[in-house]
This record gives sequence, C-alpha cells and structure tokens, in this order.
Amino acid sequence: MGTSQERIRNFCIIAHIDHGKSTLADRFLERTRTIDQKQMRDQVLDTMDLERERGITIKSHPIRMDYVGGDGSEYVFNLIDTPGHVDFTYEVSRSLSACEGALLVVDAVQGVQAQTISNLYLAIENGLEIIPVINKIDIPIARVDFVTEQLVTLLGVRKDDVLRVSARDGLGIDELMEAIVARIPPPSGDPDGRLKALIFDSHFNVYKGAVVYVRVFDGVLRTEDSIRLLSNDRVFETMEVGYFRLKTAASDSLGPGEVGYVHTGIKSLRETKVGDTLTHDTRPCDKALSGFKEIKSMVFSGLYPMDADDYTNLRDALEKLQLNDSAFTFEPETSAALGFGFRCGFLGLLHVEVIQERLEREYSMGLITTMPSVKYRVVQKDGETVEIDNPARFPMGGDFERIEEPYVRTEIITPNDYVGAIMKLNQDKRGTFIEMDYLSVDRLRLRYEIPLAEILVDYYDKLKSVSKGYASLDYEFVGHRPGDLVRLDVALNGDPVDALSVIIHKDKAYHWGRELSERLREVIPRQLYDVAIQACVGNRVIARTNVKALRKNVTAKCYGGDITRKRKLLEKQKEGKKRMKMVGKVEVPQEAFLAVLKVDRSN
Amino acid sequence: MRTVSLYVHIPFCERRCPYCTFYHVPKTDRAMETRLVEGLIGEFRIAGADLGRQFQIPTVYFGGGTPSLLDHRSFEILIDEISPFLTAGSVEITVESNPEDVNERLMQNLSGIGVNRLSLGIQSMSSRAQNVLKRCTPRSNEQAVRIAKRYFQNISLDLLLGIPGGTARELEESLAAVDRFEPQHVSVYCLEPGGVIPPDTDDFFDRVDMERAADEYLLVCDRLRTRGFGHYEVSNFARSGFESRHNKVYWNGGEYLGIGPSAHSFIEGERYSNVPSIDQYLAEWPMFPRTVRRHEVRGETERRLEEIMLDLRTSVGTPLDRLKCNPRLVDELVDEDLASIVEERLVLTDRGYLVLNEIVHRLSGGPWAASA
Ligand SMILES: Nc1nc2c(ncn2[C@@H]2O[C@H](COP(=O)(O)OP(=O)(O)O)[C@@H](O)[C@H]2O)c(=O)[nH]1
Ligand code: SF4
Repeated sequence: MGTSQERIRNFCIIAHIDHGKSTLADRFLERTRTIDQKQMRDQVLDTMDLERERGITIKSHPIRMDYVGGDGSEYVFNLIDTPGHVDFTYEVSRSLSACEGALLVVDAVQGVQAQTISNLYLAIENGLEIIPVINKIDIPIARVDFVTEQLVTLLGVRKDDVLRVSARDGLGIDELMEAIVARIPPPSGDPDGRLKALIFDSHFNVYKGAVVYVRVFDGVLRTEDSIRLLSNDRVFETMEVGYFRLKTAASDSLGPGEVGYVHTGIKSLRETKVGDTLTHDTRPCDKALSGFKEIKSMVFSGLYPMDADDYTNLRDALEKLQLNDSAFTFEPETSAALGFGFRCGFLGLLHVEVIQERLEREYSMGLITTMPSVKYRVVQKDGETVEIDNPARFPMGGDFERIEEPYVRTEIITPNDYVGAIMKLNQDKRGTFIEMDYLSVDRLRLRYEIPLAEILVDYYDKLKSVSKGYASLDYEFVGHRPGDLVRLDVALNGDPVDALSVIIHKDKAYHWGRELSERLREVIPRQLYDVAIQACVGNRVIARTNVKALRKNVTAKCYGGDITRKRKLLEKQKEGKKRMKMVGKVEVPQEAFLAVLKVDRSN
Repeated sequence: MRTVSLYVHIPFCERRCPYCTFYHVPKTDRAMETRLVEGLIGEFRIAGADLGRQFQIPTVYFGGGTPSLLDHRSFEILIDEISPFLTAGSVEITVESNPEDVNERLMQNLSGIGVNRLSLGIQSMSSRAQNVLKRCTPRSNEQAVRIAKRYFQNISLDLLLGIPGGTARELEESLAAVDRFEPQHVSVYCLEPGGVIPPDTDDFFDRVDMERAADEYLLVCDRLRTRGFGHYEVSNFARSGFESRHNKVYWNGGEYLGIGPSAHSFIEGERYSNVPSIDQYLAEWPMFPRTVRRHEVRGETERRLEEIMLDLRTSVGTPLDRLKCNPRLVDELVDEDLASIVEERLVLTDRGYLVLNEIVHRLSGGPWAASA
C-alpha cells in the first residue's frame, strides 16, 4: 500500500544551465542512499549524451528517494526534473503541476539568470512552494550577499529563508533536505476518492508500449486496473505500475500523492498525451485536471535523406522517434529538387535541431532539413480555407482572397534597461505592442503579438543578445491573421529549387532575397560549371549572383607509380562531397538548405 | 612472357627544394649509398624470386630524389643485376637528372650502360622563378640540355606551372626554350600539396595561384600541340613514338615493381608501397619484408575509382560502357566542352583535364547516382 501522504514531498529543481542542478541531484541520491558512492557516476540524471552536450534537459527523469528526517521519520522524496527551453514550456508546466514545491537553485557567482525566471513564474503560477537555494558557496568569489538580496527581491522572502549550499562539496545539503520536509507541503489527496492522476511525461518502450509517468492526486491506481484517458476516452488495462528508483521498481499500487509509472500497453504515444488525466473506467472522476492542452506542431520542415536509398530507413526512424515524442509529426512529401522525403511538424526550432541531431546520431543518417515554415491559411475566392505548411504549395498568380499567418502573443519579462532595444526588436519583427506593466521597480513585462514566422528563426537569440541574457520569453498561439505575404523562390541555373522557397512578408522579400543569394554563393562550392543564383518573386528577379566554375582540380604528378596517393586525395575530396546533394546540374551542400536560417531577417 | 616494369627510387638530394613533398634525404656518405645499393639488390632478388623469376623488364625508371647523384659504380652494379631480365633489343631505361649534375662524364657513363632516356627537371627558364624554386639558373639548364643532347636521342623536360609570382612573360621564356631545345618529350606539372612530407613553409602552396596555373596549363597544352607534340596524358606531351613507355605502364594497368624506400608496386592486380624511410628500409629489409612493403588493400569501389581516374588521365579515355553513371552527366560534360566522345570512349579536353578529379567524382557515383 502507498506511503502516507504526510511523508511525501514532491518537488523539482529550477536552475539555469550549469548552476548545479545535476550535482545537487547527485548529492540527494547519495545522502538518501538511493545510489551508493561506488555506483556514483557524475551527474547521474543526465543520461542522454545529447543532453549532456547541449546542457538542456530534454526528457524528464523523476526519481524516488527515501529520506530519514531529523525527526527520525522516513520520508519519500520524489524529485521531478524539468526540461528547460521555450519550445518545451508546456511540458515544464505539466511537470511542475505534479509537484508541491520547487528548489530555485542559483549560482552564487552568476546570480539569478533570466531563463530561470520564466520557469520560476510558471512554478509560482502552479502554486508551488519555492525554496531559494544559493549553490557553489565554496567558490572564493561567491557573491552570497548579493545573490541573497536578488532572491529576497525576486521572491519577497526573508533573508533567512535563503539556503546556502555547495553541491560539489556537500555543504548545507542536510539543512536543505530538512527544509524540504519542513517547508514543502505534503500532498493532500483523497485516498477513497475517485482516481485522478496526471500524465506529466511519457516514453515509449518497444516491449511495454507507452509508459506514462503519473502523479496520483486522488484515489489509488493498481495493476490490472481498467483505466480511462479523459481527453479521448481511450481505455486500457494497466500492465504494471511502480516507482522510479534509479531503475523502475514495480509495486501493487500508487496511492494519492505518489509519483510513478504505468505500463499501458498502448502501441504509440499519440494517445497518451502529457497533461491528460487518468481515471478508472468504471468509476471515473467527474472533472479532468485543469490545464490540459493539445500540443500542436507549430513549425514545419521537410526532412530528406541525403542518399535516396535511405528513404525507408528514414521513415522507420521517424516512426520510432514519433513513438517517443508525441509533439512530433510527419507525413510523406516529394520535392522536385530533393526527391522523396517527409514534411515534419515540430514544437519549435530547438525541437527541429534535437530531432535532426538524433536522426544523424542514433540512426547515422545524412539528412537535408529544409527551411522551417509555419502553417499558413489560404482563404480562397469561394471562401474555402486551405492550410499550407510547405512554401511549394503557396498559390501563385494571386488566385486567392487572402492569406493568413499564425500569430503568437509573446510575454517578455526584462529589467527596464533593455526595454528600448526589445521594443525595437519587436518592431523589426512586425510585432504589435499590446501592453507593458511593471512587476517591480526595475523589472517589467511586455506583451506583443507577433507573426510566429518572425520569432521562428533568430528572435530568441536576438532577444537574449539585446537584453544581455536577462529577458525571458514565453509565447502562446493566438490565431491566424491576414498578411501581405509572397513566396520567394530561388533558381539555380534557371531551375527553381522548391526546397529553397520561403513564404515571406512582401516588405522583407527584397532584403531576404539578396541576403539569401549571397549566403548561397558562399556555401555552394565552385564546380564544373558556372552556377547562376537568382532570387525571384513571381517572375520578377530581385537578386542574382553566381558561383564561377572551378578551374583546377587535378593531381598532376604521378610520382613513381604512386596511384594510391591520387586515389586517397580523391577519396578525401569525396568525403567532403558526402554532404552534397545534386539538384539538377548543381551540387548543393546540405547546409545550403539551412542557409536561409542565417539570413538576418530584421531589416 | 610476363612483363614487369621496374622503378628504382634513389632518395638522395643535394639540397631541398622548397616545394618538395617527395621522400628524400641528404646524401651523407659513400657508405650510405653502398648500403642503399645492397638493399635495392636484395629487394630486387626477393621480389624476383616471388615472381618466379619468369618475367621480362621492358622499361626501367630511375627516379628520386636525384638519381644523378648516384655514383657510376652503383649504376653499373644495379644494371648488372637486372640485365638478365631486360627485354632484349627494345628496353627503355630512363634516368631523372638534375640539370646541375649534367656533364660529359655522367652522360657518357649513363649512355654507356644502356640508359637511353633522360629526364631533366629544368622547371623554368626564368631566373626569378628558378630563384623562388631554389633551382639552378636558366644558363645551367641551357648548358645541361646542350650536353645531354649529344648523348641522348630521347630527352624529356619537366616544366613547372603556377610558380609563385610567375608572369606570362616568364612562361613564354620557358616555352621559347622548349622550341630551341627540341626535346622529344615534355612533362608539365603544377605545384601542389599532398605528398608524403610537408613543403618548406606552410604557406608555400598558398602562394601558388591556381587560377594562373590553370591559364598557364591551357596555354602550354595549346602551344605544344601546335609544335607537333601529342598530348597523351594529363601532364605528358611527346613527339610521336616518344611517349614514355614506362609511364604508360602506370596508366594502362601494367605490372610494375618499385624498389627502394617509398617506391610503389603493382603486381597481380595488387598495390604495394614501401616505407618512406631509408633507415627503416635498410634496417628491416630483407628480414621483415612486410614491415617495409605494405599491401594496400582496396575494395571494389577503390579499384573502380582508380580505373576511371587512370583511364581519364590519358588521351585514350575510358570506354563509355565502363561508366555506370547517368548518361545525362556525360552529355553535360560534352556540352560544356569538358570532354568529347571518341569511338565510344569518353576523352577529356584540356579544360576537362584541369578538373579531372571533379569529373571523376561526378562519374563515379556517390550522391549523383541518386539524382537520376
Ligand atoms: N565549485 C562548485 N562547483 C559546482 C558546484 N555545484 C556544481 N558545480 C559545477 O558546476 C558545473 C555545472 O554543474 P551541473 O550540476 O552540471 O549543472 P546543471 O547544468 O545545472 O545540471 C559542473 O562543472 C559542476 O561540477 C558547487 O557547489 N561548487
Ligand atoms: S623536389 Fe625532387 S630534387 Fe627537389 S628536394 Fe624534392 S625530391 Fe629532391
């Protein structure tokens, strides 16, 4: 039977990258003997190497620890990790709502960083008890007082409420664990009530099907229960339930307040969506947990195999990825330039990169990713609406009533010093100012409505750069609005390359066309023939340039019959060509298709 | 009878040319030379035994380094050793010589032991260029050719293109000298990186102007053709009948045995290369032939790549049916005047030769196979 709720503490750690979240988690695992010193690899929680390199936690790994408190009683700590990027805001919000508390970990040298703040606000919105923690106090140049002051202002807490630790050296960890017991409220579910549990994460297992990570609020979840998903009324029988230790540990049941996993046996992740509510089929709860949102792909991009023979492999790989990632969608498409591939939907640009990297790494596949696009709506003369997520389908010849593009409402929180620069950025990005309000004397919130296409590419980076990293960004989709949009095409030696087309606002087409042809000129290598690059809107050429034909590439001297040296040189050159795709007569390097991303849009 | 050509590598050089990427060592003393000659003979005997001693040598090439630095006695010993195998009556024996080393005695000695082809690395007839290359003066070149012509009826001159700082006038000087010297054969090379050792200074090849080298190449091809030379291989031009038979063995897939440090062999369809180290060569040969002579394992792709590359280097070209690529690619090459089709074979034009590697890449599959 489940643990008494009084003894359960569910919490997460909110921290800027490198402020010590993983190290602190390691200390907890050690002190609670969840893992012994010998087993201890550094940073146990970060298992995917992709994450390690990017420093971004992509998937959650909850963990259950047994803690014997200063009062001699045994407590159960469930530490739930949170992903940390705008693309994943919704997921963060869901994992937060599985907790009653959050540790806000701040580096004693760097102080509070902007990115942390948006997650902190999410935590506060979700009603979490926040424990401010200053980490790395062992560092001689630690600015403990300054950071304490920051936290006091930010959270409205007392100085004494701020804990000081060194996760590396294990200082202050015991006090922190006591604070978790004392300050984070225990869950207060109704054990006899109807089952109500939140899916806050999931992954797919080839043998067990969809494995969902749940937080039980009311009632008890058992093995072989008949369970219903409230969003879609899908019913399944629980094959196994259990807790997260370092590995999973099966149990008979999960009681109120507990965190654990459920093997659903469902064959994909599409039906078990994060944020959904689980209940008993025969005795369902009357209301779903609030806040469930269908997460929809916002960004679409074509994925093509470098080598046409890899098409089926790519499809298999995409299918596997999709099992594990419900926000990722794909369907077959063809491109005149690139052949057979897939139009894929993503949460955002980071998501595109993550998927592309995983495909290249885990499935060792050469890929071409085309310019990400949003989903436009074309309202036709007869009033009918068609959605297009691929510039190739843009109606030419003005044969439509209007075109609408998706808009988002952004919420930017920033110190006042950067307001001017941020407003300028938003103007450049075709943003409409909505409102501004002060959160404290020197910190304010700006709201804008902006075409999603504009924030897709470099908006976030620019925002970070104009605010020296202090501004935080959150956004949500608000609907489609009409826009003066055109399709910009690129032709190589007179042949349009569909994969390089973009849909763009009329006022930006000229600048874009010039920049893009220039970028292409830089990345397309000299080859056997001249390559003429043209950017056109309709029949009008708005920019042209060319790559002159290669003059010389031959190894002249055949020295003493050393054929091998020549061949090796050829092979070395060929290696470089692996990342090239033949488009008509032209060899186009993989990066050309993303050259568009490097174009400075803000002009 | 089976024919196996012989290449002998003499790694000694008096001094180092700044652009050199070939294996060579300074010649230290007589003893070193004696040991090298012993090594070469030892290697030749073992290789000969491996071949069952049932073969003839139609061509011999002494390359380097600088073979003209070798003592006459050494030449005699080497020729003695191989002479039982030489194809009677029609053997071609080439020695590479540094123009500075050419004198009556050397010429007399070489022709006396049966050498019948001389290759002279004159490189350029501009004193500025020769200075950049740290080679001898144009006068020494001139003198060397004059003496050599008295002893040899088959002389090849090496010219270098793309010399840093070179001008059209300098090239004209060299071409005019070719007209005067009336060699039977001319080899034209572009300076290029990628050898077994790095050049003198890292930036030496950065100073090579590839655009100008390309222009010079086209000009030289044109000029030599009008002077009656056949352009029978990317870098090689000859009066009819004076094509280097030895070099043709390389292109045409004939067997050859290379002896000496850094020498290369092609025997029974397999390639071998010797270590580019005279010390290791002398110390380990013939006790550990395998550490000295490495088998270069090639798969089907590598073999095909070599075949196409070697074919396309010559004016005979490659049979169209050997190319497994999209026929459109061939048409494009012809349209762009990079190649022509002669008797069902693809033959490159001068401009095509210049981008030979690029053409090989296009024709040998890879991503292109996919773009049918
Ligand atoms: N000096 C010191 N370094 C620490 C401390 N905690 C973490 N670090 C170091 O800070 C870096 C980032 O820590 P990590 O736990 O990976 O940060 P995360 O990105 O938030 O998970 C690592 O090099 C840690 O060794 C600490 O208390 N003191
Ligand atoms: S280029 Fe030839 S002569 Fe000059 S150093 Fe190199 S091997 Fe010796």
